[in-house]
Parts: sequence; C-alpha cells; structure tokens
Amino acid sequence: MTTTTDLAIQAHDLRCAYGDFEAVRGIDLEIRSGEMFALLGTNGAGKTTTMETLEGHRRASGGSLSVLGHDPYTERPRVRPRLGIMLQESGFAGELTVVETVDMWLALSSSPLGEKHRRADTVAEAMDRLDLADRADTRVVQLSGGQKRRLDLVLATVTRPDLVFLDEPTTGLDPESRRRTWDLIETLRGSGTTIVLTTHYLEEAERLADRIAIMHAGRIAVEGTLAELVDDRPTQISFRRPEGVSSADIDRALRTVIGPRHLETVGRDGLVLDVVDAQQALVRLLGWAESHGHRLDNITVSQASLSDVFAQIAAGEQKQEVAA
Amino acid sequence: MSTAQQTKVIARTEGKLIARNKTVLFSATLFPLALTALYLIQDAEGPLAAAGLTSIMVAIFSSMTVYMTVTLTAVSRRQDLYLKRLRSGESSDVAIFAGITLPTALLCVAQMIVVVVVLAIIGFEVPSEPWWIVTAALGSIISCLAMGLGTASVTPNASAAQMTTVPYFLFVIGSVFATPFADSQLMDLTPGGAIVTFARMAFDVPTPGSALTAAAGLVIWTVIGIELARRFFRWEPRS
Repeated sequence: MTTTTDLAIQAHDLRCAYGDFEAVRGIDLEIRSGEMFALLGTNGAGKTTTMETLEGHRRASGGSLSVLGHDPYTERPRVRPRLGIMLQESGFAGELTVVETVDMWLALSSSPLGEKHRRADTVAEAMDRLDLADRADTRVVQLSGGQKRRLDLVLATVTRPDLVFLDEPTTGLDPESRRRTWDLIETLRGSGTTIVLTTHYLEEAERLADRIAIMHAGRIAVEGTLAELVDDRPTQISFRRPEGVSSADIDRALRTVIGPRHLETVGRDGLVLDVVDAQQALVRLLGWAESHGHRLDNITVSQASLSDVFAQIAAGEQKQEVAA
Repeated sequence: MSTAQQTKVIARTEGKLIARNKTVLFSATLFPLALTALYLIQDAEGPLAAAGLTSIMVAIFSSMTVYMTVTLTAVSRRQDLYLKRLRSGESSDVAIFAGITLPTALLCVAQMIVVVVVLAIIGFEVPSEPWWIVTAALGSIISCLAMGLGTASVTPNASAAQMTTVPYFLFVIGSVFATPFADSQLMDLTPGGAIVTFARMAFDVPTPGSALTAAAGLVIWTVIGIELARRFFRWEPRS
C-alpha cells in the first residue's frame, strides 16, 4: 500500500484554465518517490500545462496538488531547492559560456554542491558526464541544438535534486546523444531520484518509465505500467489471404473456429485478425488452414504496443479508463 | 539562499552580458562624452543654465540608459526564455527583477559620476545643495526602472520595444523642456518636471515646485510602473 509519505507528487481533481478555456480538466495523479513516470499526450492534450503546474510555474485553477509535500506554486521557495527542471526549450543567455552558465546556476542554488569551494569540481564533473567538457569555454549561442539539450540536462541535474522534470529531453538529439541521455536518466533513477518525463518518442517511455499516463483532451485517458496498458489490448495475427479463398470465406470459417473477433483486410490480400488469446487463436487458425489445405504466408503475431494504445486514444476511440 | 545573494549572482551575470554587448558599451561611453561636450559648448552661464543642463543630464541618462535598456533587456530575456529559466530555479521574482535591472542602474550612476567629475575639474558651476541632484538622480533612476519593467509588461517582443518605449521617453525629455515655460507646480507631477524642480533647488534657483510635490511626482511614476508590471508582466512569451 502506498502511503502519502511515499508520494513525491499527489494531485486530486487538478484543473488548470486559461480564462474560460480549461486545459486540464480534473486529473488525479500519484507519483511515487524514486519512480520514473512518463506523461504522454496527444497535441493539445494539456500535458505541458500539467507539467508547468506540477513545476510551480502555473497556479492550479482547481483541485489539490502536493509536490514533495508542498504546494509548488504558493510554497515555491520550499519546493524549488529540491527540484530539477529541464525546460522544453533552452532559455539560456547566449553570450555566456557553457562553464559560466553552469557556474551561475550552481551559485544560485542552495545545494552544498554550489558552495564556492566545491563549485569548480561540480561544474567539471557535470560537464564531463554529459560530454560537454570540450565546449566549456564556448558561448552558448554557438552550441548545436543537441549540445544545448545536454546543457539543459546538466542544469536540471547538477544540484542532485530529489525530483526532476524532464520535458522532452531527447528532442533534437542524434541517436548516440539520445542513448547517452537515456543512460544518464537511468543512472539518476538508480540513485533514487523521482523523474517525471514527457516525450514524443513512445519507445523512450516504453524503455525508461515505470508507469505511464496518456492525456487526451485535458484528462488522463489511461494510466499504469506498460504491461497494464497493453495487456488488455488484442494481439494481432496477420497473414496473407490464401489463393482462391475469398475474405468472406475466411471470415465465415474463422467465426466458426475462433468465434466473434475483428478481421480487417490490409492492402490487396493482407488480413489482420485481432484476438485476445493469441496462442489458442493461432493453433485454431493453423488447424483450419491445415485441414483445408491452405497455406498461410507471411504470418506474424504482434503484441499490442504503447503506440497502439496511443493511436487509439488519439483517434478518440478510447474511453477514459484508469488501470489500477 | 537570500534574495540579496541571488540578486548579486544574477546582476553579476547581467553585467557580463552588458559588457559583451558592443551597442550598450558604445552608448554607455558615448552619452557621457556627448553630454560633457554639451556643457562645454553652450554659452549660457549661471545657476539657471546649470540647473537646466543638469536636468537634461539626469533625464537623458535615466530615460535612455535605464528606462530604454531595462525595457529592452526584460523583453529580450523573456523572448530568449532566460527569465523562465531563472524562474525554474530557486531565485525569487524580486531577485530576478533586481538582478537584471541593477547593472543598468549602476551604469547610469557611473555615467553621471563621470560627467560630474569632468565638470568639477573644468570648473563648472557648483550646486549649493548637491544632495537635491542626488535625490533627482536616484528618484529618476528608480522611476525609470519601474516604468521600464512596466513597459516590458506590455511589449510583446524586442522589435516592438523600439516603439513602446518612445512615448514615455519623449514624455520624460519633453517635460524637462516644458517645465520652465509652464511655470506651474503641477509640472512636478511629470517625471521631467520633478527633475527640474530638484535641480533648481540644488542650484538655489527659484521654482514654483517643491521637494514634496517633485518627490510625489517620481513616486507616482514608480507606482504606475510597478503596478503595470505586477498586473501584466509575463515570464515567458505569449504562445
């Protein structure tokens, strides 16, 4: 059982509005300490507004919110020293060098790592970790997009905060930089840091997150572990329609051997079958083909993915539901 | 970490950014030189002329060096999301405002000191009560800081700042030139009129205004700037 003290973030019926427009329409969130939580969403779903409210940049228009035991907006001075925030866009003073930027950030923090006698070592170590050491004296304006994202990550993590918000941390990064960023995020999680991540890369959420929430139209459409999100989705069996057999014949036959299910024609002769029990359906399908002398070419079985869940939500087919 | 410490760090960084901005550096050097030259080439002599030129100096330095620079700095830093960055850390709002404006105010004070020192060396008219000039300078700098932040609150981007700063700038300069002709205590309620009154008091020149109404004038413009900023200032550009 999760107790309140185990929770880094707790929101109940959280609402955020811009004038008459309610961008976040009553969400419940519980993010445990030490957990990596991915907040995904369709465009305009309210994900950025939610993040900014959790970070304390915006005041909630309704509901309750506790971040590390405090209201992040009204009690900002108590919360911020324990937070690290990686903004979606850089926000640097371009004429400062990389090392000046990190040094200033540390000087503004109350972390012991920001104390004058330790600062130089902390800056050097942080830049080494994200491979920015050779750009230390480069002005920020001259950095590439990927290097700026890495500098962003340095600033978010250099004070070793308890809770880190990462807003699309790998957008614009090349595959190698993305892998290195993932490694750093996993190291952070390994050290017990609570991480809230937003990303457009679903494989990033699949790989990194302990739990995932997908927002749609200001509400959380689904929430749970990856397994919880995909387990009750049908598995797909696809194969090529045997020669001489019509789709209608196959549909009738499968209705008899497998029972009611969804069969879709893809392209000229591709068939996709949604099933709940993939093993049983596959055995019966192959049995039917064998007994009737049909050959099923290009047969593949694919489990539902986060992408499928996301696509269903984006298409508006998903009813609001929250996995336990 | 205290607000004062945060202000010091942000101000030190802002100072570096100003020092690396060639345009600001150029104007910071050029204005004192140009104004000193103005003192030297004018024919008028005596306390009245000295008070007039001192008023112009205070008005130009505070409206150009402080008001216009603060507006442009706040808008540019907001546009670059630098303000949002600072606000995502531990810094208080007061420390961020003070930190990004303090170097500009100090630059203005330095410019005024340079002009005063040069004038003292060449034997220009000495004010009998110099603290009124200090009052005028500080009051004008503070009101221009506040109005700069207020104007930044209603300025969408750096290009627009070149337009939105014009009315108040002209108002400050215009009221300095208009005050001697208006000959009314009501002019103390304009930013330029208040400066003229303090400058005249410094050189012991008769004035229809008073220290109280002149101070009230500068306070009013300070409050208007703060109120504009309090109501409309945004930390990031409108999306």
